[in-house]
Amino acid sequence: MGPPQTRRRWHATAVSLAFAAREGATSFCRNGLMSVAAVLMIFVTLLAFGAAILVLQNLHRVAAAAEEQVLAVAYLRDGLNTRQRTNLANRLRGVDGVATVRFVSRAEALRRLEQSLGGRVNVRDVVRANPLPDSMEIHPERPGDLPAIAEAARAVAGVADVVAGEEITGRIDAAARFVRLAGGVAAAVLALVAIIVILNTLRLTIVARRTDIEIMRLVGATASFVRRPFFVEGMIQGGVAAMAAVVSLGAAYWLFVTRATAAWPFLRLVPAAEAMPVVAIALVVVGLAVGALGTAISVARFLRTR
Amino acid sequence: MPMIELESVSKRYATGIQALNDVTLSVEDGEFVFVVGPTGTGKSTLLRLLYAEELPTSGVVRVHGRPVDARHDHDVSALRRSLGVVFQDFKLLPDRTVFDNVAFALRVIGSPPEWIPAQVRQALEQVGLADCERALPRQLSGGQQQKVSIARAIVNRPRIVLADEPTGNLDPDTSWDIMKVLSRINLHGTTLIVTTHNKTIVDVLRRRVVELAGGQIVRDERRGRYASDLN
Ligand SMILES: Nc1ncnc2c1ncn2[C@@H]1O[C@H](COP(=O)(O)OP(=O)(O)OP(=O)(O)O)[C@@H](O)[C@H]1O
Ligand SMILES: [Mg+2]
Repeated sequence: MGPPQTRRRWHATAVSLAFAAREGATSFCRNGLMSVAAVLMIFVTLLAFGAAILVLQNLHRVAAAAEEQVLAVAYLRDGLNTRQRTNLANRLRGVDGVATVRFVSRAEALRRLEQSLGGRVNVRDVVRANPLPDSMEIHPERPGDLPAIAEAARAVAGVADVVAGEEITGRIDAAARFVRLAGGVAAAVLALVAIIVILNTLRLTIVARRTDIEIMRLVGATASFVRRPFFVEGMIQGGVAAMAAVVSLGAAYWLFVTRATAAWPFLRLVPAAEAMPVVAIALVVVGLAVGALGTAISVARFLRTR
Repeated sequence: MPMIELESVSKRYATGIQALNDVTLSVEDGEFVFVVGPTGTGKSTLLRLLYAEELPTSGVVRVHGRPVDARHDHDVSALRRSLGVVFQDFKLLPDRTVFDNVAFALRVIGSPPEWIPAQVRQALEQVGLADCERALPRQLSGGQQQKVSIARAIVNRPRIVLADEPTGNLDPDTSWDIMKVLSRINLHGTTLIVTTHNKTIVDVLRRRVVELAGGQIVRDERRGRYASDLN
């Protein structure tokens, strides 16, 4: 069991932790109205923050889907052998800003064409020989690089023509960038607002308890001993508020997605099951961390001796 | 070795007010000292220096022979565990029972829970409040509330009790009651320092009297009165 000294220290730690947990929990209950007000305040703030994350996730999906469309297709001259094709693909991969290069055989291209026509038309019925050339699909690392890539690809031997849709690409790129930036800034601002509101709320609950702190210090409680119950209380407040926010936001979002997709099937919303885990983690982390840190900061102000 | 020592202690607050000016004082183990003097002469400041709520601007304060050192939190905590402090306004927690108010002082210093009830009951007995332990402060008279705060001050069995105008809010009869409780604690060997404006009590008890004026000790008598004999 170790020497008695160590055992005693462990015992003292256990006693003080038990005190912190009990004291934190009972004072959360004892200051009923104050606690409810604080939790509500934190709840509403986290709700706004969580909603911002949901919006951001959907914008992100739209932007990503748009970016998927950004590619250049290099049509190959007829009659290239396998080695020449491999060389050509490697030359294209070597172009600055190219992420992936994928070979699409004329047979595959035909299959796709038929598919995109809804499988109702068999092209071979119309023209006997496959009219499509072999091609390479080139995806850029950044959509903005596409014009330059297309230009470089045109100069590669064996390439007959390159189609890149430069104009639409430019617009998609700008829009996606804007959406990401604006969404990120909005989420960051809301997170900051959430933190400030929570800190202030917790400060009020602690100001209301300064006699407790004063007496604790007076009878010789150490600063960390004084801090710990408030720590627990702050985590309870932040945790309860975060949990409530996650549950209500999850339910509301699920309902929204269900209704909206029923009404407008073309909407590609991020499903609740996919979007909520990120929101839950963000809210619980912010709730607990700010709850705990917020109380620590506020209590520290009352612990200072002159 | 003196229980409490001040060596050329001065205290100047950040506001520029010189609350204490070159005070030298020594209190022996088991003494009962009244600190008297007009308002604003530094009586409370003197006590605050003893429990490290304030630090002297110059000079040395020693308690139990050790210089008061507020640089480390655990030094301050250790000092305060060896002192009991009582105030004019009781400083009780309104939402806790008498028992819990007293027990609070032990709980927050991490005392073993199994010792607490017996120690709390003993302290309440010493102040004559054994049968009020389940009451809330607001259900008690002012004198009873002050007794609770005294019980809290002595529950950890400190060698020194500091009382800053403990009867300041109380009527004469109740004041006597409180003074009797404090005297009894002193009889058991606890060193006691009491600031007061209560002339009658000081004149009847005839204990050591230290008079402050303008932040300086102007009189220190072994069995003194509230006002000097010259007046
Ligand atoms: N925290 C403080 N900051 C600035 N000045 C203070 C502080 N505490 C006390 N003072 C000033 O220091 C002087 C001494 O104050 P102190 O409270 O020690 O007097 P006192 O003798 O206890 O008075 P009283 O009899 O009214 O209680 C006063 O002028 C007071 O205004
Ligand atoms: Mg005073």
